[in-house]
Amino acid sequence: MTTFIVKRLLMIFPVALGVATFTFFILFLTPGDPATVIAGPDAPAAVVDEIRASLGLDQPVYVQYVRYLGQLATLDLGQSILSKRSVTGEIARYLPNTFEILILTMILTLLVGVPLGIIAALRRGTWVDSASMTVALVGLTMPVFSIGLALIWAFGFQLRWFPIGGRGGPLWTAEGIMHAVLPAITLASSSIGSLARLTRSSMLEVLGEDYVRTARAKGLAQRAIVYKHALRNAALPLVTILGLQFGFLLGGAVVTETVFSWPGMGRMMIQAILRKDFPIVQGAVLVFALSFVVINLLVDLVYVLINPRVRYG
Amino acid sequence: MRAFEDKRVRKFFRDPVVRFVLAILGTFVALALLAPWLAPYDPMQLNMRARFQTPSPAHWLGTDEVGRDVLSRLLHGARVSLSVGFVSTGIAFGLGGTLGLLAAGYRRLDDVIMRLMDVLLAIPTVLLAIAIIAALGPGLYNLMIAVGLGSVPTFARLMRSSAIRLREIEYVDAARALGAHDLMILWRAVLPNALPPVLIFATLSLGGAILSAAILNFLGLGLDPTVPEWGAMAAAGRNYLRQAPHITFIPSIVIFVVVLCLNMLGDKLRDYLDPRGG
Repeated sequence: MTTFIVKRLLMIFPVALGVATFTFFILFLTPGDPATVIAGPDAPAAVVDEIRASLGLDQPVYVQYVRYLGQLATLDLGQSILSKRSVTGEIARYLPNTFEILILTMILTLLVGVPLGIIAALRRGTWVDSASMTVALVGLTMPVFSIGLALIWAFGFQLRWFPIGGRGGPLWTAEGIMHAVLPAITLASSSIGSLARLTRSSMLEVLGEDYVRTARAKGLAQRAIVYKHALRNAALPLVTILGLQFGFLLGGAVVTETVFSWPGMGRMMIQAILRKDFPIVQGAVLVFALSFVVINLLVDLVYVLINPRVRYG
Repeated sequence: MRAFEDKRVRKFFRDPVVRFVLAILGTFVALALLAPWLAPYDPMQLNMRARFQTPSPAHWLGTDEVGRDVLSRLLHGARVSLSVGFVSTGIAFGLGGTLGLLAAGYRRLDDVIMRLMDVLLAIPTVLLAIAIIAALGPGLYNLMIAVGLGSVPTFARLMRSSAIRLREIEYVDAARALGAHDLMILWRAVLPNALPPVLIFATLSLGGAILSAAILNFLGLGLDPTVPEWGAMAAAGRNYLRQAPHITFIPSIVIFVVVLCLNMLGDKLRDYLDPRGG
């Protein structure tokens, strides 16, 4: 098992290097010149050249690339073209807000998605099954922004239960949690849908196994069968899918934050794209991708820990 | 084998759900094709005196924030949204499929291609599309390319795993023994048999591509906001949600229906045609 973990940890480096290279070149290929953006449209050519030289943009690509990697190694992601603040600082400011929503979303997904799938599996073929799977399908199919806007319209404008945007403060305050409820439900809707569907099919498969029949035959209560025998075995594929879901959630977070004016990294990135603030875009893509890589690593490790077959194998 | 597959295809088309879904999708495609003749108004025509109108006999689906007819924009938007969906899935299928096939066929290319795909897979699909469109800039073709490239790694991986199983199968060995060229073997013997799961996945990702495109447009990264496109239409209504929710909700519902139909079609296709998934 140790070999597996060490191997898996070492795999992170080439992927991280690849992602860094991708973000470097995506910026490099971007039409439009950062120096022109900084100098403004009417600046004389000499000024633009001077700025270009000061940013090192007049150097050959490979020099710029090596310097970029060197900076990355010291966690220096450059500085915002517009605000002149360090990109690392900006990310440190907005990333925790994004994680707030993501954590709340993950909790919601588990609390709603898994029970929904279990109920559907236990009541297979009844209206309960069809109803929960319809809910799951709607969550999966509806565009994230439509769900967000529908919630704003219903619970913000009509019922006035929740605020319609912005962040109210830390999650442990009433104001903070009230502001986070609608964004979290919005973001969770699709992952609840896929988790519920997967839990259902995984449970159905496990409930047909011999050991479940044995448990039933020896007179175990339905509760014990479902939670002690079936769910534990059905949970394995769910862990894998949760890791993959995290990637979808990162994409969805960009949209959700924009809809709810949530001061997170996704919204920061979109605004930076629209304003052509390239270093911020580069930093945000890099951090998003790396957090996905790290989460997948954690998922693989959790999988090893909860699956005795891998642990002792 | 052939007859067996024909039977499954026939069964697929006889399924009432499949027929229903195909009828809806067919209607949307027809509406998109006939949009210039069917649309009651010019989709770009501003009319500041007719802003925010709710559905009425004059404007069946109401008007938007600058008085444009929502129905006309929806019909013209179908052309944009559906073509972005098809073209970008085509790009992902063509490029990803080719890369996956080459990776399966040539061991030397395998490592290079798949490590590159691993890196791209480390970036979530929508974010990858956002990063690419940020680099390319806005525009219809760039939107298609960004959404398409975003799914290339998934297609490449699927095609490789589907094709690699066939590499050692007898008829491939037979073709090799007959002296067929590697590329010829890949093209003639491996590809047709590796294709079904990839095709099913392509149907399933059509809906995803339409959604991704709508998201990019919603975020203001895709097309010029005056161009009628479903995601952009929903975004435009965002600031008027209180007084005119229909501007946002009508295009949202249309996206939902189309994506739902495509997903159901993909699910059915998998049930009927993929013996492993079904």
